[in-house]
Amino acid sequence: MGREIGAGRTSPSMVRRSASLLRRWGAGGGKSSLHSHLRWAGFFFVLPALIHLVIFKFYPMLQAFRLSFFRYDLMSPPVFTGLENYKLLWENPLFHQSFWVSVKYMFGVSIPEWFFALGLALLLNRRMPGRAVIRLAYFFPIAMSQIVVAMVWKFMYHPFGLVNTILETFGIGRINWLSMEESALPALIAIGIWRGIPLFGVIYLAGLQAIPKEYHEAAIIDGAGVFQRFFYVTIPLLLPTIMFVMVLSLLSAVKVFLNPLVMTEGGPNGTTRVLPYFIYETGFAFFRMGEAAAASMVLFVFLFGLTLIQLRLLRRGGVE
Amino acid sequence: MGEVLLEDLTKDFGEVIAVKEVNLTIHDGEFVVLLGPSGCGKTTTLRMIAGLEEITSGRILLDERVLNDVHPRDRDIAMVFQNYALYPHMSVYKNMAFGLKMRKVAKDEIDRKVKSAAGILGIETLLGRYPGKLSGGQRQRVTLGRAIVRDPRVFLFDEPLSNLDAKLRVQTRVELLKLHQHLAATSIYVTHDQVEAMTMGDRIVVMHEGVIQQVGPPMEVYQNPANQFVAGFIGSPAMNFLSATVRFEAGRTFLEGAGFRIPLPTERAGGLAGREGDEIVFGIRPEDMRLGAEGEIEGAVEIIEPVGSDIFLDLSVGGASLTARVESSVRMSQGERVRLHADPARVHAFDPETGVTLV
Repeated sequence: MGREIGAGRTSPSMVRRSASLLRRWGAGGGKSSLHSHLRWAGFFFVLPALIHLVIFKFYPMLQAFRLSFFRYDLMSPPVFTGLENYKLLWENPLFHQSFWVSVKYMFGVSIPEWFFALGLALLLNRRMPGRAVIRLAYFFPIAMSQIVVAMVWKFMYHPFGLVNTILETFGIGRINWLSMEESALPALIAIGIWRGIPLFGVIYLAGLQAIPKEYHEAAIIDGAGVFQRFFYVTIPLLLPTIMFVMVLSLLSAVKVFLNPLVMTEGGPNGTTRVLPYFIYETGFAFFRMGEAAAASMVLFVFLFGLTLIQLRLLRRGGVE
Repeated sequence: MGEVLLEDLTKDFGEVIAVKEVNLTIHDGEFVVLLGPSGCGKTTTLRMIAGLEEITSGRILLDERVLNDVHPRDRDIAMVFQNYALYPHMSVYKNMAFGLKMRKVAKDEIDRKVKSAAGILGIETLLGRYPGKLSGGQRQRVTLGRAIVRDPRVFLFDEPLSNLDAKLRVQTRVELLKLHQHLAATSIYVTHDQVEAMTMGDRIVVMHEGVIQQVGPPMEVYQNPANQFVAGFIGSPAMNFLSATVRFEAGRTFLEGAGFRIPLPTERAGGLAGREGDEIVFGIRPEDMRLGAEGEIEGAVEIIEPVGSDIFLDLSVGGASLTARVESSVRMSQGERVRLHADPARVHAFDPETGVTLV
């Protein structure tokens, strides 16, 4: 009771203090002074990130956009050529090949990721002994440096590497995974999937754990079995997360660069030359910076389109 | 029919015993309220009846059928959850129809039942809406609708009004009772709100630390609490407890303490026989005292709390705190010394060790 009395005494004084603070702010600069104070404070908090974005993201993007209308070889001054670079790209069969390699890689990695990651998340969402350790183990590939992953897998795919050694025990002959046209891209896709599953698994897991258990309990009492609960409760409530994972996995897959660079250098015969590698090669191996910039613009438009679709789907996936 | 029988029902979570040897019969059509503070085991008991919690030992029977190993969907029980648990991605109609759809009831039949339940609850116009677009009260009705359509033998309610504001809670309480009268189905209702328990229950089951403290009609539990816990838990403001000593003088029994000396009627003093000089806990409810110059309790007014219809006086009696309810016309000032007369028929005494009611 003493506490109640105390609260009664302090509360009005707190209200008075707040009111006088608001009045002072109000007197300082007219009606919306407090709001403009808060707006400016918010702006200054965001400013460092904004400066970083402008200098390191937007400015290079604008420069790349500008460069895509010039012929430039890093030696002589850029020459304005209008849409010539885009025309060259359109006529370049290697660009078309790269585009389709990227599309194959993107869907080849993403689609299995959606399902395997969901399966992993469902498994890890169950109560079982050692769950924390298992979660940590599955998360490990994300913690490893990408270059280390690429190097390790290059050794594993070597004709005398671990993959072939294991296959040999099953009576399958040694395959030169990264040097054959049929196997190089699938080999890279496999790494992409292996690395993506834990990350998206963790996102799915967070989504699953955000579903209140009452929904499942209500469904149990309503008579829904395990599969009915999965399709009528889990999936619909997980839909925003599913949409998020789908688009995020597509975007991250289409940007892959390091693995083809370290493991295959785009080969054999361009079968692993994904668009980012094509851009790198055109710019820094052939010094056709304008064409490379044009290709990066095409990639940008493609990614932007995907992002727009994501936003649409996310909005539709939202429950309320 | 819908008679629920709990036999030595026990639930432990490792070291913690949540529910301990609960024995209870809930008759067909009865409205029973499980009441107690947080962690007293009331919700766990309800969840065991629903089949959402495994039973450690004991049995649950519904109309003589043992439910222990029966799947929740086959128990013929519906549950109303505290947070409504309405599927947010389904319309009100689909929410209500879901249980029937899972049981493969024909579409026409589902339609008829959903519309009938919606009619009872007055939510026909909401059937096309999604739960996110409903108010708290409307959601509550839909939750009830989802339970009603299944026409179960037993309704379980897990603090269904706790998310509603005070006004709506009172209103929904009345509607729930009308609904119960209309359906005449067995209802087991969990709450920590003693007002809900008092107003709704045919019988109240007071629980504490997993153990049933008392079972009985609301007024009986209020007037004749089985122990100090029940006495203190039910009633607002709570019953006053003061340390006292038992005295026998000239064939009469007195409860004596600092600032009071209460004579007990002979017919009520039986429980104190042979306890001369013993320390006990004297209990009296705030409304069971009245101001009077001859009063046996003397104290100084510390705080005056007018609540409109009455005034609550917080007094210091021999250093201890005591709350009395007096008429709103009474004029008092802080620090004033007053005397109160305790209604001898309403005086309680408890064993300080066990809390068991002596008087």
